Amino acid sequence: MTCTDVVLVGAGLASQRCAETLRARGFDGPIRMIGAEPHAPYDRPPLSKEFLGEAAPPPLLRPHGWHAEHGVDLLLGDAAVALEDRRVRLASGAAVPFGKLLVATGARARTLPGLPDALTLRSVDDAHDLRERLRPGARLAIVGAGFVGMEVAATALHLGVEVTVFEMGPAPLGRVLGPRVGSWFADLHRARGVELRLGTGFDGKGDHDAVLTAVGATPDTEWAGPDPWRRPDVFVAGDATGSQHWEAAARQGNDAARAMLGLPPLPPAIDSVWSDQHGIRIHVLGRPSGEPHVEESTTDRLVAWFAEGAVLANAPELLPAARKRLRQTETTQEIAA
Amino acid sequence: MSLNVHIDHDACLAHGDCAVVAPDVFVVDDVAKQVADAPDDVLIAAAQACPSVAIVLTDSETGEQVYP
Repeated sequence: MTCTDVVLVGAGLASQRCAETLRARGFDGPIRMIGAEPHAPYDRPPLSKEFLGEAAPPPLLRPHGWHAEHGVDLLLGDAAVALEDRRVRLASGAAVPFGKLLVATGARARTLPGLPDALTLRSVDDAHDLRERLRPGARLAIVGAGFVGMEVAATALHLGVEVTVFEMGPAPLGRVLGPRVGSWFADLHRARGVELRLGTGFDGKGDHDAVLTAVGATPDTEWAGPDPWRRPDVFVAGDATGSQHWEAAARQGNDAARAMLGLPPLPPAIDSVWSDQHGIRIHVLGRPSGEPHVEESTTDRLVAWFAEGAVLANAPELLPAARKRLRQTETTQEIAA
Repeated sequence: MSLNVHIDHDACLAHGDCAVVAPDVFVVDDVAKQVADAPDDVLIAAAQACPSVAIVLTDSETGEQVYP
């Protein structure tokens, strides 16, 4: 007897989108979604933003009842611990047989050896822990000036917290956006009152009420063994792939469902990331590498064009044109290739 | 002023923020859809919330683009 069950390991955006696409495309077999956390699929981007400022339930991706209504069996609070021949072993000891499997267990926050007790921010429970510390007047040290670090810095500052950010590199977001655009972000955060210490690690000095390490994340796929997706019945999507973007996870979830059903993948999309910092909406499109042409740079607005990317802050009206321009760049490259 | 709503389905990735801001006005399945009329300020708030800038608002009288 062949098992036709689809098992989605991970209860985040990628699994959720996979389930939705499977149902939308007419798959009517059993779907089981396994989550290590006790929560139904929720959205992570708000966790470093508005969610830190309000005591609220997890921002669910779909309302309660959606999964039962769509025949998606949720197994929550039980982590996958091993991929066996045709089944997934859970921490509780249960074995879940599968016909097709999605590995979408996301990523876990990196920690620093010198800071074993520092907070990290990946899950809604992490966000609750961090929120408890963000009292007005509290002092927060953030180690790492990537998107998560800078979003938390902005949110915490607006909650009345004194924020110091430590970054080894020369500029916040410098690794992703380069030093030129990074320096614009340094000015933005300093102007609003964030203390930014660049070119330095956390010195451990100062009387901080909390320390948050925000130095990236590593795919959480060890449980499945090395490269399990080489098997034709195993697929991967979301942060488990090593990419860490909302839109990539959504598309990969869709594509995994399509692959399971033998459908071709969706046409490739331009990479797209957004962020909110100090009330400013930031859009990053494509690959912002190399030296940018900075068309506009004021205290609260930035328009920077790269050969294969763009960074826009407080310039949503340019997004459609930016997408079009990058699509043309891609087409030109395809022709050149 | 009264606003026309156009949802760019190529840009919409079903983030769902519009439906959070204006749950009576937008529903999100594969893409966002407008299901009811709403005051201009509600439409503007929903359009501004969209991370993909997929909601385009135009003045229904002059045709002038109001957002983005």
